[in-house]
Amino acid sequence: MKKLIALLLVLVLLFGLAACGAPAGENTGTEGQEQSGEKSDEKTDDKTDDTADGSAGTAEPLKMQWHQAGGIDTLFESPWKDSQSILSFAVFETLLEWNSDGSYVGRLASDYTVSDDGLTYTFAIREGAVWHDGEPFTIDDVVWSMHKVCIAGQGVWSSGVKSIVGAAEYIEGSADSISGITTDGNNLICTLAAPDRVFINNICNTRILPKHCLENVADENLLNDETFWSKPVGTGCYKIDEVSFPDYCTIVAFEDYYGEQPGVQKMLFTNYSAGGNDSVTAALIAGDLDFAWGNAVNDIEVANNVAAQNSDVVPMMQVSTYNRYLGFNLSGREDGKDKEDLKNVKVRQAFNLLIDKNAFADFYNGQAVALSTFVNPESSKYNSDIPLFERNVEEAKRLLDEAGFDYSQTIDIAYYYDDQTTADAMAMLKQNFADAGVTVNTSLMTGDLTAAINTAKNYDIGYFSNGAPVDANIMYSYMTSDGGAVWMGAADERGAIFDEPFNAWKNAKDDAAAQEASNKLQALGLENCYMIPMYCLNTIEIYNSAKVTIPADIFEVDTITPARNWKFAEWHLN
Amino acid sequence: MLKFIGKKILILIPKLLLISLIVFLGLQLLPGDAVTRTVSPEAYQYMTEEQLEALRDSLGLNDPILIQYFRWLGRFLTGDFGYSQASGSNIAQMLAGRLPYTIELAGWAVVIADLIGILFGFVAAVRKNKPIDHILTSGSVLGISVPEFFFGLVFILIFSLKLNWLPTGGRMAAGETGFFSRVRYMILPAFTLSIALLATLTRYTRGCMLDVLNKDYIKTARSKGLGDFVVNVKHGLRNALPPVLVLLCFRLPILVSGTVIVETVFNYPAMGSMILDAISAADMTVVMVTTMVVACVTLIASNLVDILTAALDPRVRLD
Repeated sequence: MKKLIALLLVLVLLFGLAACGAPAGENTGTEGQEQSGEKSDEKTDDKTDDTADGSAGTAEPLKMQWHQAGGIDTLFESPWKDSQSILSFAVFETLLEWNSDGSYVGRLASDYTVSDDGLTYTFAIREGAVWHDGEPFTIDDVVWSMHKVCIAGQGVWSSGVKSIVGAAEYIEGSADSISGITTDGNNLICTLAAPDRVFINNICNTRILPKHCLENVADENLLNDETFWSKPVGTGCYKIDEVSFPDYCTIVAFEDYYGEQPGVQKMLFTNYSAGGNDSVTAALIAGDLDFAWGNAVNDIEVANNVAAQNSDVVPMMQVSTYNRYLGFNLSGREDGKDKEDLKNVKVRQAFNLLIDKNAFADFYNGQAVALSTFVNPESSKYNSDIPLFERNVEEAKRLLDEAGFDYSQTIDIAYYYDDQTTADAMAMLKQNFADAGVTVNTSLMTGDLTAAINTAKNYDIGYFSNGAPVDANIMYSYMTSDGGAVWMGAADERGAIFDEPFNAWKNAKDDAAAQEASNKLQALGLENCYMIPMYCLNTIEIYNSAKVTIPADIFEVDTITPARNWKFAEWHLN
Repeated sequence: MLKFIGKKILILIPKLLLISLIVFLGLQLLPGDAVTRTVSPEAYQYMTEEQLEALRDSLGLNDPILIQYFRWLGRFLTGDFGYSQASGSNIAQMLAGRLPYTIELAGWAVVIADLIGILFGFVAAVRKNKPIDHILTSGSVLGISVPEFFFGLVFILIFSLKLNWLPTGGRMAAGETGFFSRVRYMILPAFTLSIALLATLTRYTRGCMLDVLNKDYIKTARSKGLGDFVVNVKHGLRNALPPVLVLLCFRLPILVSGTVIVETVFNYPAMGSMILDAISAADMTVVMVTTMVVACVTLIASNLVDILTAALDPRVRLD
């Protein structure tokens, strides 16, 4: 009896192990093997990779990293929620895309014009485009998307639409539509309440989704409707082909794309979230991954090490607007331990001078740049009249003495990054302040960060970050009277200083006027120090140059713009 | 025996209910609520209180706790595990896509550990104090004391990066989802996961074998002229195995939780990474479901130990 039980158990175990692990994800075969002969007026790229029968489905794929901020489980991530993977840019399109030289390429809008007063934008919506499921793309898709992104979209993906007249009323429910969005034939007309320099960039952060697939979905489910997001369709030059959650998916060239066919016929996106950046590094070295984008390898030393072990791999560092800063809590602490001295501008100026920002930047081995203003000094938009940051303890002490600073008090600095580099940086920060006799206590915020930062606010200075705005000058919007975070306080005082120059920048009609306004903003930011910019962290892109050729200028943009022109037609496998 | 098994199953049900209640209440005690944990601090500061309240209402967070618990339990028992608050994915589908791989990985680790560990322990015992015994014993100490992630990294360095024999990670190659095509992706993670258990089984088997080999019936068998193989295997190993199997069953839950580290090292998306991601994102619904799953596995394994022990030793059933 015992033998029988044991034997049965062993047989069941072995059978179960062999049967286990059947993938639950959908595995669809390649559709549309033939390349369509009907193209738009744009020419087909000659440098396509060789395949046995010319079909995208059997082509050698370019191996990419699949990243979704919310994780990869059973659904693709909506570009209205986050868009941090090239997959999203390849499948979904926006109205226009931007080149590194500031010029644009028409996508779902073939062109646009702006009225002389800067209030009216007219987009000529493209005709002849189709969705990946064969349905025709129309202006209705754009109008629908712009309305729904206001309701369902998160963060920067809806910022452009929200500046259109009537958007606020539509969002709060007092209007059935956005009055500032109208159509005239195949032209989309957007009316703004005031000129906005970054409107045209922000509006292109919104990717257009198919109305015919989602119009019957409730607003709260638009970002995660199972039917659509398990295998979504877009209008991009690539369509989603094979899907196996949570491991990988493939995209193939869309044969009915209106524009130039992509140079690489097929891309394989593999999920590395379980192993994190370390698994990405190992895969790059082993040649299992051809392209890592978006700071997947976020340390230049690691990137150089990868290149040293795999000579085909090329790391590139790209100027970024991603920054970390110290923000003064002038709104008051819940525990009542407010430090009145911080309301004195001389004290804030002194603190700025005490911080060894160059040493902070050195933690990142050449990847970070110390900031004097929020504009990266390696950027063409930096105010060249402002010298690069240099620490000055003596000047800081002088300012503190002039302000009558109370040296007996302890300044509380709070942060929420729990990596070792930040812990080391905070230790250094304490010493920086101690050099001038200022006592600082640093503490890591844990638990409910939102409540800690915005409600309790039991800190004097917060160490925060801002994720790569389209234009660094947008950071100065936080210093205007209606732009600040809850913890900033002193809205009227800030507004009196920053409202006018910020609006001058935002409404500037040309680049020269914008730069003049930006220079003023940078000078005022440095003078008033409501937020002390610490350093900018440049991003690293890394790819296998023996496997693929990618146009180098796509990484020369001054900012990480979500509406970058990726020039997929010029990519080709070597 | 069937009565004994039935009793074990009946006792299991209230234990699982108690665990579910403890898990649910424990997670309620975390600071904040699901809204503040799933919206980033930067985004939260620009949301109005009305928007936040609407979000709380839609997630059912304003209902009394007991109602939330029974609502969740009722759905759980009908297989509706709800949706991830972070990604919006159906949790049942998430589990379906990951749990089998965890079981598969842990299962193969058990098979490898059993086969090799028991063999090594047997050899070490019958070759006691010989060089092979010292090598195996030292090796087992190393296997127990060195963290498994270290072995994993060494394996990747040697077999993936230097020799290029095996992939650096992942579960499968694109388009190759069949079992045999995934074997090469399982080799290193399964072996890494098996090391600690293999080392433990080696030492325990050696100890049990040495104990058995000193018994009188072994001496009787030898004096009857039976060969070494028959004595050592048929009489020795067979009697040494029961306590080894009991130890194995006790170690099974640890093996399942040990997959977390191995999954990270080998980029093997299964239950471990799912739990980690859910905890990082404070995705309460996923944390609750996965905690219940792990608790179920642990309880079932524990009951299996009791049943196996009872099957092997009738005296246990009569207690």
